[in-house]
Amino acid sequence: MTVEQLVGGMVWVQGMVLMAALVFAIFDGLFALSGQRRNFLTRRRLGLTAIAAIALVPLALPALLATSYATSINATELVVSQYLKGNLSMSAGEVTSLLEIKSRWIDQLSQGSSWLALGVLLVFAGAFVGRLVYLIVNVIRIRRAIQGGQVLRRGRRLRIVLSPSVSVPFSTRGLWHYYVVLPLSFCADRDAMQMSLGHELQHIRQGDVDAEVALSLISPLVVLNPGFWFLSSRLRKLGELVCDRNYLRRRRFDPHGYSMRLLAVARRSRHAVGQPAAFGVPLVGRALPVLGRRSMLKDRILEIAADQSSPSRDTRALSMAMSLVMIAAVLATATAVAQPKDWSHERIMLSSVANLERLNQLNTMAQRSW
Amino acid sequence: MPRRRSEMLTDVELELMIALWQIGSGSVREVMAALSGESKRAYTSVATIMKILDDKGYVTSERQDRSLIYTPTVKRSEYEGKSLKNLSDSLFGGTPTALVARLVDNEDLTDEMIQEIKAIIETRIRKDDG
Repeated sequence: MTVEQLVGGMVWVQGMVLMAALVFAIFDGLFALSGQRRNFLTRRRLGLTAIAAIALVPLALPALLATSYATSINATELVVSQYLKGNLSMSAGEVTSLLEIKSRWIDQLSQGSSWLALGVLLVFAGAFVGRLVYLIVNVIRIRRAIQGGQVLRRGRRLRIVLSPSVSVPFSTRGLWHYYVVLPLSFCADRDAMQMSLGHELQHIRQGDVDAEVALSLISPLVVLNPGFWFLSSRLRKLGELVCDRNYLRRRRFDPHGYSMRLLAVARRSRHAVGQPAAFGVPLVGRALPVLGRRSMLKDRILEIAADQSSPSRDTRALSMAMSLVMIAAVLATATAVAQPKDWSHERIMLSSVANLERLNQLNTMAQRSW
Repeated sequence: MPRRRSEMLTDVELELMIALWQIGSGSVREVMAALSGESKRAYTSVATIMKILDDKGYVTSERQDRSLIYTPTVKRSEYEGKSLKNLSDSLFGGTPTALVARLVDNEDLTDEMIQEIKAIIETRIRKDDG
């Protein structure tokens, strides 16, 4: 693999993640506008589908670009077509230059040919290393919490651990096992233990742990991409809302007691030792800075209250249908921004006009009397 | 009341402990004399800090003639090991924030926000024992 291919791949990934986040934001906005905001499970599924669809793009794109529909929605072809129809007041050279802007940037970045390109590379490399270090610190924390704890239950795929070093219950996974880690102090409170265990098992059941680990593992590559942080924070929040709703529905746990315990745990962990505050919010990735002081816990409590007064249930058929629409939307957008496989007749015509413009310019210079 | 022995030393306390480790044991005046040139301190300040070190359990004091003689209870190498462990605990200890799904997020809740959330729970979520 050449440096150019590597840089091109990274630029492509950044663009795809940004585009998936945009498509998801549009879908999410439509849910809010149509009064379906509380379909948390469907919205979460759409977010996951948007990310999964990115993985589908490299497989599906060659086939999509070979179809006749690709030309009609491709952005490059649309620009060329609009220029040839006379709808763009630019010269052919300017249009060609506009279309080649991405490949010019990739060339500059892969060769480090300017201070700006070098600066961009350094910032990305620094963020990559910073995020990687942050993940390694967290892996060590998880290992210490599990190894320094007492195994309460050892199942075929699940281990429940009581740890003296943590203040907040959490669940995670290794290669073969899922782990639910509970603070040792919860031993004295049977209800808190039951509630935390039920909540974390619900997270494992609905795939939040797998999603969280997968997102964390890809995060060093997209640590500076606002689309990634938007998608991951939305998914985390929707995962919590789905988890609260399903757990309360499944266990018939008292919502009042459940909410009070959530608040108690949040209060206890406020100034807990060992939180890597120095890494800052964007690298820690627990909230978006633009959301300011909006509390996720408050939003969760408000939704628990809303569920009690007017229960809401997701429709499986709607969820499946919307997921298919989401895949189609991501693939269509990827096709729209992709570089066409071959030059169309219109693109060849634009190139001919640009060459004629250049020849004309040269002739004019030759005829000029100095 | 004696403070917890597990407490780490502040910068000034560490400076005096280093001086005391150098001389082995000594009075306030002898600790002052062992301090490096740039960090001369008033007698009363040094005496107060030595008293705090005694409370924290880092030194013991014994009255000889009319002055207190301080002796370290912790070796320098022991304290250095403890500092490293403390640094390691603060970096690698505590609840992880990545690669996990947590019961509650790592939020910097203010007292006002906690009161507001509590009020929402009390007024909008009814107790349901069924």
